[in-house]
Amino acid sequence: MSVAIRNLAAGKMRTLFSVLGVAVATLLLTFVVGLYRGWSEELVTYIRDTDAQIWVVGDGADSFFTPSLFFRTTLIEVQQTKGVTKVDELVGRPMKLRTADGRWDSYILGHNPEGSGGPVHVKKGSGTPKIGEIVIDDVLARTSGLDVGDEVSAGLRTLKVIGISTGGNLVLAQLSFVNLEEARILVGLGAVVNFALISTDDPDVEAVRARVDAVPGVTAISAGIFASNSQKVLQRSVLPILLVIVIMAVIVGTIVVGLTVYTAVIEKEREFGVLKALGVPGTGLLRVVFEQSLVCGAAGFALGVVGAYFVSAVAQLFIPQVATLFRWQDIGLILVATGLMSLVAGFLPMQRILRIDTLSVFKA
Amino acid sequence: MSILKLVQVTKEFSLGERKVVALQAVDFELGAQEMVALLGPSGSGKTTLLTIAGALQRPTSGTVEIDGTQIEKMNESQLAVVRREKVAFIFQSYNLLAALTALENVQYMLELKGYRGRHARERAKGLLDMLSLGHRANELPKRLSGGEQQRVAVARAFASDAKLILADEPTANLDYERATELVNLLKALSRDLAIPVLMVTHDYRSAGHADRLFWLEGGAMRPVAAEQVARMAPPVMVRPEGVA
Repeated sequence: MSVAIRNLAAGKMRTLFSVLGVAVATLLLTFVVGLYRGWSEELVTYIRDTDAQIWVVGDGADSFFTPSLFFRTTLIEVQQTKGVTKVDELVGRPMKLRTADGRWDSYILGHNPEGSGGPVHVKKGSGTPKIGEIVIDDVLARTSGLDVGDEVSAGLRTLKVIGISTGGNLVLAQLSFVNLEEARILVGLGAVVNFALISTDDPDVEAVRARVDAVPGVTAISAGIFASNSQKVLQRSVLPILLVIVIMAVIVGTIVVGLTVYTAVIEKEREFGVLKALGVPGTGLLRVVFEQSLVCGAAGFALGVVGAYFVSAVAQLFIPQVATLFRWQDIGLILVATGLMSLVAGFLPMQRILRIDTLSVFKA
Repeated sequence: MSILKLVQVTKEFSLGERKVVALQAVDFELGAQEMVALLGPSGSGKTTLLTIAGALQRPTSGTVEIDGTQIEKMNESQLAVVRREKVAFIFQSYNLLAALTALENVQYMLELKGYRGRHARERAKGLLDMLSLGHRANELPKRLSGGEQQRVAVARAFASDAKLILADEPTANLDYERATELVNLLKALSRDLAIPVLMVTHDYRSAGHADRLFWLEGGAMRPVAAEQVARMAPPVMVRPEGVA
C-alpha cells in the first residue's frame, strides 16, 4: 500500500494541477522537439531522396540554403570528369506564386524532366512539367487551396498546376518544380546554373567527388554531407530559440510540481510527524514525497506526450507547414527530463520534512 | 521483568535565558502486562516523560532503558529504529492518516513491521474485528466517530508488535462511557497480549482503572492511590455529576 498514492488520491484537485503542470511542460517539450525533428527531416527530404550521389555548387556554397551560382559551361568539364555518368542541372530561386486569392512563398526549381532533380514523391497528377506547367508541393497546395488544373502566376508567367508532390517543404517556403527551360525564363539567367546533380557508377564515389571538386569554380559535395550541411543551417537558426522554449518548459514544470508537492507536504505536516513518531525513518518519509512527485511526473509525462501527438495532428490540419517527427529516442530523453524535473521538485519540500518536530504530534 | 526503566531521569529546557526543569531525577519502572496511569496538572511534565519513554527525545541526564536497550546516547536514526521496533503511541487527537481507511491505517503499521500484502491485511482486519470495528474497516477516518477513531489508533498501536504502548490523553476527546470503554480495552489488551501501557491522563475516572497510578508535579513523580487522586481534584479535573 502506498501512502503517497493515497495522499494524491485524497487531494484530487491538487494532484490534477500537479499532473497538468508536468503535462503542459512535457507537451511543450515533446512538441518542440518533434517540430525540430520534423523540420530537420522535411528540410532535406528532397536532397536525400533525389537520385544523385554528388551535388555540385558554386564555390563558397555548401548547402541548399547558401546562394550558389556557377557558369553553365563549367558543366562541360564536370561531365568529362572520370567516373561521372550523368549530370543534371538545376536552376531556381525563391518566388511568389500568385492567385486571385493571394500570394504564396515558393522556391521554384527548374529541372530536366528526363533527368534527376524533379519532385521526389508525386501525390497527385504528373511530376514531369512541360513549358507553362508547374508541380507544387502538398503543403503549398493545402495552404493556398490550389489543386491540379488550377492556374498560378509567377513573375510574368502563368503556369498550370499539373501535379502535387510531397517532400519539398522547406518550412519558410515550399519547392515548386518547373521545366528547366521554364525556369530559365522565370529566373532570367541563361548562362548560369545553381546546382548540378551527379550520378556515377564508380563504386568509389569519394574519388569521383574529389575529381569534380578539382574543376575550377565549383565545389562537389557528397549527397549525405550536402543534406547534413543544409540541416545545420536550420540548427544554427532555430536551435537556440527551441532551447529557450525547452528550458522554460522544464522550469515551469519543475516549479508547478514543486509547489504542489510542497503544499501537499505542508498540509500533511502533522501526518509526516506522526509517521516520524511511529518510527518511519527519514528516508521513508522522503520516499513518500518523491513517490508523490514521481507519480505526478509519470502521469504528466504520459498525458503530455499523448497531448503533443494530438496538438501536432490538430496543428497540421490548420497549419500545413507544421511538420513533426516523434522519435522514441527523443521521447525517452523527455521521460528522463521529466523524471529529473520531478526529482528536483521533490527536493523543495525535502528540508521541510526533515525539520518536522516529532513532538508536535502530541499537541492536541 | 521491567520493559521500561527510567533511572534518575532529568530533563531541562531553555526558555530564553530561563532554565526550566521538566523532570527532576525521576525513577520509574513498568513491567509487562501492567497498565500505569500518570496524572498531574497541565505543564507538569507528563508528556515530556512520555516522549522520553517513547524514544522521541533524550533526557538531559539519567538513563532510559526500553526492553533492555539504553537510548540516552542514541542518535536520531537509532531512536527511530527503537520507536519502530519497540514502541507504539496512542495520541490524544488520534493522528490517523487521513487518506487511508481504518483498515489501511492498521495495515500500514504492519507493513512497517515487515508484514506483507494479504498477511498484513488479514491481521489488520483481525485486530479491527477484535475491537468491534470490522464493519467500519473501509471507512476513512473523517467518517468515523471520535471513539471509533481512537479504537483504530489502539488497533494500530497493538498491530505494531511493540514492547511498550504509550498513550497520551487517549480519552480526552471521548465522553465518559467511551473513555471507560477504551481504558478497559487497553487494560485487557495489555494483560492478554503482555504489552505494558503507560497512559498520561487528566481524567481521574480513566486513571482509576489502571494497575498503578503516579502523580507528577514540579518535575517529581510519586505513586498515588486512586482515592488520593480523586481527593486531589486539581482544577483541570472535573468530577462528573453522579459519580462518587
